[in-house]
Amino acid sequence: MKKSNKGLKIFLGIIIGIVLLGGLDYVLAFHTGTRNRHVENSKDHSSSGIIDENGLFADEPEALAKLEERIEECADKTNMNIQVFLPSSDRRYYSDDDVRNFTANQYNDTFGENTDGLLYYIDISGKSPACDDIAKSAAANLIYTEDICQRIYTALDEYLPPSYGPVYTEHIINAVEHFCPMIESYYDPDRASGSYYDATADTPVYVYTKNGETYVTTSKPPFKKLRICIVAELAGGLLTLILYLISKSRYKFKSKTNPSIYLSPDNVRFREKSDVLIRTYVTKHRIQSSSGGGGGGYRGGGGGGHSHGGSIGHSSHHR
Amino acid sequence: MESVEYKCPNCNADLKFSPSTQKLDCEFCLSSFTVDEIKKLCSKTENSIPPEAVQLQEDFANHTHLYRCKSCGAEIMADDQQTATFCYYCHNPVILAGKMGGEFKPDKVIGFKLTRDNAIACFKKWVGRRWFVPKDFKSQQQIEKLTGLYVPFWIADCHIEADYRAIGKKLRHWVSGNYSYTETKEYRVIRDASMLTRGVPADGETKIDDLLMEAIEPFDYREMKDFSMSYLSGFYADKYDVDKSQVFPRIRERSKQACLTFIRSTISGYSSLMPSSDQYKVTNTDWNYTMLPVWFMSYKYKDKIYEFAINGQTGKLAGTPPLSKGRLAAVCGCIGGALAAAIIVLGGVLF
Repeated sequence: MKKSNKGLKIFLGIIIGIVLLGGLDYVLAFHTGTRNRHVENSKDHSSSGIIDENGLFADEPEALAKLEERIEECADKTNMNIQVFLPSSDRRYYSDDDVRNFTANQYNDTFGENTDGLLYYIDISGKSPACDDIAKSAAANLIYTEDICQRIYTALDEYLPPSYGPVYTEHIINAVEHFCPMIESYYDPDRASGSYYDATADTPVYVYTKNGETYVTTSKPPFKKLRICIVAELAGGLLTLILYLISKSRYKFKSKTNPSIYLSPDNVRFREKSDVLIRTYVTKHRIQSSSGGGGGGYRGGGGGGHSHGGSIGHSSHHR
Repeated sequence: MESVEYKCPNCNADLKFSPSTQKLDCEFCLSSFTVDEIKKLCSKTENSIPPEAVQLQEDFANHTHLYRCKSCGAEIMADDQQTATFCYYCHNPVILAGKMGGEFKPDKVIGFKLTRDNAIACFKKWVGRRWFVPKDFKSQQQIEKLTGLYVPFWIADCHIEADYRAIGKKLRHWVSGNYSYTETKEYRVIRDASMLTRGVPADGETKIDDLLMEAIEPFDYREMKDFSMSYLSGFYADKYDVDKSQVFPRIRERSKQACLTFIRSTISGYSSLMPSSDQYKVTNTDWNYTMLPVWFMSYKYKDKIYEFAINGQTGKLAGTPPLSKGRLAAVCGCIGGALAAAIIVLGGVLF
């Protein structure tokens, strides 16, 4: 009876401990953190459009205006800031990092930091291989994931010329006319989940959604905090258990005297003490030859960093 | 079945003749002897007690008081100059129960060499390293309960016939061409010996844990003296309640273990050993009923008695320290909590 009471007490203690820790985790994960830097987009998307730095549409302003209109329409539908940028040949010496740095700053300069939107940089500068880039800001990072961007690139490869070939306005018109519907079709704010961490920003930030609202904060998203809390509690609990068991083992009776001390070699008289060889035999077996080996592997790549403000993520593609 | 009145040379219990084996068997210690062996052994023993020994037994009976604890049943001896007031084991008052019988007079004794102050210093050093014992356990009141006690021990010299036979294998490996070769040499290993374990002790009372008494061994038998009442002065002595036939299995086991270890130490260089015979037979045992000096203390904590003993001759100590699980859990919890807090802070949960 007494033992079962003790067991019940321990069980209740464990349950209460788990409940308390759960409550603490909830408070730490969901009710702590830094201010939300996210800036809601205005309904006016007149800033969205196309920048023809290259002057490709110099002789076709109507076509450019049409594209401008289409992009604005897309921006209205998605409530995203959208800009398509056609770089001049001055940018052909840009490295990939330079491109990403430029697109991030261009977006922030045009629409402001931590707004929802994206900038599509179609590399017609003459750089080979051409480096297209989609710079995504705030919620766009969660909606237009790397996978979606790569799908967009693959689809647009059909319309864009190779980097070594001449570029005509038709290429860009086709590309933009297919780009906008794809942006619209992939737009699904409800699908925005998980989080995005922009480590290259001037102040590294996390982008995530909570209760349908977009957050851009310097503190971690709630589920990451929750995971850290649980890991911390498991590590603390494990350390507690190990220390408890080690300390408890020091409180056990260990000492025992070896009875060998009561037998002196002087008190041993051998009648027979022998080690007689009775037989010798040899066995042999064939050594199995084994072949194999592994190839080495190498990891290559790497990349430089760049610096910008806001919460810009990139998806790049080479043509 | 025919019954023959011979005493077992090992444990002094009655031997019974077994027609099936044609041997005299001891039901207590499971020793077995041929009739010739037992006759030879009995011829060496004295059949009469010398008058001096009778006088010593009478003196012992006249000058020793027996006290009994009504609470735990412990029986304590003290000389007639001293009055025992509390039980060394459960710390309850004891009452005078009468005189001791002469048959309880010990043969030998080792006097206390460790003073009470030395024993307290040993205890304090031992307990000082243990942070999670209950505070009471370290208190002066508890230390006062450290009792100088002569514990009754049966000390035995065992004559053992050892017969160890085994097949030992020595292996040698080498490689030649595409073949791996193994040469196996088989040896017949024989160790046939007479062995004598000297002074294997076993405490003769049930109150104190046997393992605790084994843990404070060994005692230096060179300082063993014939028993005299003067050794009891200032100390208590426990009366034995376990006779030698009951302790013999423990002594036999420890003696066998000593012999086994010795035999094994003479065999080396083999990759494997397959014993065909590994027998250790105790053929004869010489006994001494001896009082050995022990500083003893018991402590009751949460319905469990924790015992602590110091060898009153050598200062070797042993015991089970009580553990305050609540304090230990609290300290470990604080350390674990600090680690968790550090991970939470460094992991950036708060900022």
